[in-house]
Amino acid sequence: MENSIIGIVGPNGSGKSTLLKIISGCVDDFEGTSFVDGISIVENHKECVRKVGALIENPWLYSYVNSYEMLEIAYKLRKGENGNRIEIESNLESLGLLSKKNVPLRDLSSGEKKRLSIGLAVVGSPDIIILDEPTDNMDAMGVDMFENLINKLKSEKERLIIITSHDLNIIGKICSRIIFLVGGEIREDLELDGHGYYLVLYTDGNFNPESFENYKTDHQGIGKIAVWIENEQMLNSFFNTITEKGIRVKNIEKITRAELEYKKIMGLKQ
Amino acid sequence: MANNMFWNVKSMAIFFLKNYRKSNAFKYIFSLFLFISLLMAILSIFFLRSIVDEFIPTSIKIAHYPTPILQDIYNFAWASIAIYLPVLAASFFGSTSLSSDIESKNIYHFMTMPVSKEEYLLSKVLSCYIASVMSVFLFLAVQFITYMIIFRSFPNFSFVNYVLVMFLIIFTDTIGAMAFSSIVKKGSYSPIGFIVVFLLITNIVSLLISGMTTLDDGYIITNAQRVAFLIFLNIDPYFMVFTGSLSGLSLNVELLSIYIQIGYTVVFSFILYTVFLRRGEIS
Repeated sequence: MENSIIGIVGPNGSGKSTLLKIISGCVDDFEGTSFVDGISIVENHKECVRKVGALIENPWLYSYVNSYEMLEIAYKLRKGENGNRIEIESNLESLGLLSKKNVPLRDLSSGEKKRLSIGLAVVGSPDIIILDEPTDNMDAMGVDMFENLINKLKSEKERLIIITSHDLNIIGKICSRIIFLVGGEIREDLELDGHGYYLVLYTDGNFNPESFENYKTDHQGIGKIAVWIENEQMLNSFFNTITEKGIRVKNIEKITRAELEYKKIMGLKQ
Repeated sequence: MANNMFWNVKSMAIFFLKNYRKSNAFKYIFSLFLFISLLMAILSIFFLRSIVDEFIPTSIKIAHYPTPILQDIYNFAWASIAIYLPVLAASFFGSTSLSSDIESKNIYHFMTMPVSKEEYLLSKVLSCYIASVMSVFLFLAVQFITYMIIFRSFPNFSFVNYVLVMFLIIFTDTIGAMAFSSIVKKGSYSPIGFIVVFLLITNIVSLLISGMTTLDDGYIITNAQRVAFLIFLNIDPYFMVFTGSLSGLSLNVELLSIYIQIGYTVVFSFILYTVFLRRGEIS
């Protein structure tokens, strides 16, 4: 099992959700084959799905049951036994929903529902976790909680996490590999090295690109250059270079590699 | 413990039932059935004899009705209301059960778990059926208690027969409602849509069969829903209008009516299976 976090990005209608539905076993009428750990998902649905936890689309959840009951049914079906109260409550706590465990789901906010949906996908600690647009409708606190959860899942055991999102910032931060999907086809498959980011410099145009020859750069047009920064030392050195070379900077923008590559692939204005 | 079909179906059915039990639909239908049954109880306790008098020509004066006749009339009156309750309950619980899950994408929660489509469907059928039975049972319980209050005795064996046939009708109607739900996809107008389509289908079938049979047999064969109170009452429901007879139905006719219910169930199940289970993608 590959131990990594893969981000799948692409415009609406590029086939991200369909791909995840196939992998998670929601679709059994498709061309080609889909295997989980060497087992065909169509021929052995239950065995495969047991290894995969998935959040697909954006389910509204059942209105009248509460978050405890919702997690309880997930435990029952995934583990084949009654859910352990302590385990369920600890799960609710990590989702920030323990204080609302008896509240009917219709009274939860959309962000809280999303967090619960993610919690449902990770019940039973599956080897593969699939999350379709997990940060939609989430506030900053929710996104922060999501990042912590992903880090926790990553440290728990070797597993593959697949995430689709339009939020390239979060994808760039947590994924080790990004697949760009356009029109149902893989346009680019990128391994992300390290946890760096690009700083895009907007200048008056009077600078020599060779000033940044010691850096990994991406020329973005006249007076505009993106410089790859991997750590604080590199950042300090970068600012020293700007000062030494007397480059007049009008603006600086911080973007992830995912954002930069996505814009290039989609031919968007950078 | 490995998941088996029984465990999965039981767990999901209980979960869906919990959701139904706390839902507004359940509260509405429960309150409606409670209101109808209490109204029937009041009418039966205080006005049964005056209602019967209405059907007797004014020239005939009857000082005292024999108790068995009053019991038959009581049962007839309750059954003629009860016959509409299964379709009402099934339309509330069954006709939105699949469509709303598909519309709200909630079905993905279960399709991404070690659960087969058959298990999911079976648990949905069970939960809708039990919710409908619970609602209709309220009416039957009030009918039973009112009977004992009025006649100071237990209803005879035909009451058990009647209850069992009602359970069969609820099942048929539930499967019918769910088959409708699997076709329409959208939940908003499902309940009223199902009632209209259900009545149309049963009446069209009724007309077709009555054209192929003699009048008497045709009536029984084609009015599968009404057959319930024929069985229960063991009398001709039109006795006051046509013949004034309280002659009972033969066993063959009772069985035939049950076969018709089962026939409807098989057809509805086939539709449900082909439409829902054969769907490649649930969206």
